[in-house]
Amino acid sequence: MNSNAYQSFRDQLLESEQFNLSYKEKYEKEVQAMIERKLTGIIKLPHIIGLITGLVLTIFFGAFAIIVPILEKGFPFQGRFICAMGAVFGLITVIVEGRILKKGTINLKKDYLSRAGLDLVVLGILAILVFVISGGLLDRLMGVQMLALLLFGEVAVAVAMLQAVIVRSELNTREKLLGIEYRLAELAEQITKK
Amino acid sequence: MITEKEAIYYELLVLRCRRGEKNALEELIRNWERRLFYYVRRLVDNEQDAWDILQEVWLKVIRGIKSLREPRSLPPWLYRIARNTAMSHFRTQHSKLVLINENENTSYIDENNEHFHFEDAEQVHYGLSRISLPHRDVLTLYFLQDLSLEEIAEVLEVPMGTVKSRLHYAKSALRTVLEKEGRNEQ
Repeated sequence: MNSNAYQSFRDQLLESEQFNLSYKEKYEKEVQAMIERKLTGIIKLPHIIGLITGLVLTIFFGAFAIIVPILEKGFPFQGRFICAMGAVFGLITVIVEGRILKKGTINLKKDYLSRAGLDLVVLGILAILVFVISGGLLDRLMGVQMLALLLFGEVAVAVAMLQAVIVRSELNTREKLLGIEYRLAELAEQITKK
Repeated sequence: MITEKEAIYYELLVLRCRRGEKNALEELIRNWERRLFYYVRRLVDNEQDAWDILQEVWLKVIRGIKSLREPRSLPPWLYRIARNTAMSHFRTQHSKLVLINENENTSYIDENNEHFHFEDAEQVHYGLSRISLPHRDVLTLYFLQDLSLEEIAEVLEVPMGTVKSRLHYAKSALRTVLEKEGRNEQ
């Protein structure tokens, strides 16, 4: 038997297999759910908490950025800016988590990267906040310590994000190279057939 | 046994799966589902169990594809997962397999001297259900034609010589079953 004959023999063999359609349908549904990483039960909880936190942050910082400067004339601009940033961050969190919950699935490639980006932003806001507050603190040393700790966190998240980006670009390059190799192999096969 | 083109295709597919592409996972499952189901179904008696095992196989594949060191060895990797999952599902059958492995005659068999061909797929499909589990195991992998003998040995976790001798005895067993069946029909 040559290779093609084997190929058709294998196909015939596979076609000989009879199966129960209801079992197959059940299996297909479960496999599809597995691929899509549907959000069910407890997996939904962190996203619900994220959504609520985002809402609270948006309302709290938003209100702070608008109401406090009206009530208190001497409220510093930096404080208002930080509050506005906090509100924007809260809003982005609401959008990201709301989108995930609405879809009911997680896209491993996009959703986790945007959440990592959010983590970076929140640490950035905190760093700025501490930087501003530390100027007015009685205990300057404590302010510097807090700032150093936050900067360390900021750098750690940034490094993790950078690594993820490097791995992604490496995979992109490898994918393109393999695409070219595949097309060359296809051409070689066509030439051999002719 | 895969061609260079297929090897590149598998590498590309594994890469896309590693990037978390849903389409790539669907493509992987679509391409291998029937073959793996056929193999698993030969190892277990119950169809429902075979579908459950296959589902578990995909779960393991999704979790483990990132750690697959050699993407070109995707076929033996998939069959190994399928076999191990089926075996852990039915530990008693596994022990039966091990027992037969120990008593097996592993003397070298020259395959070139075998002048016997299986051409009727439906008959072979029927015959496979009539032979012993270890013979069915090796012969199914052989007929599915995705793996070299070396890779079959890797999947079955036995030396190459054992695969050759087991294949020889499995073919004889299948031939005997089919001949008997043919006589009965006459």
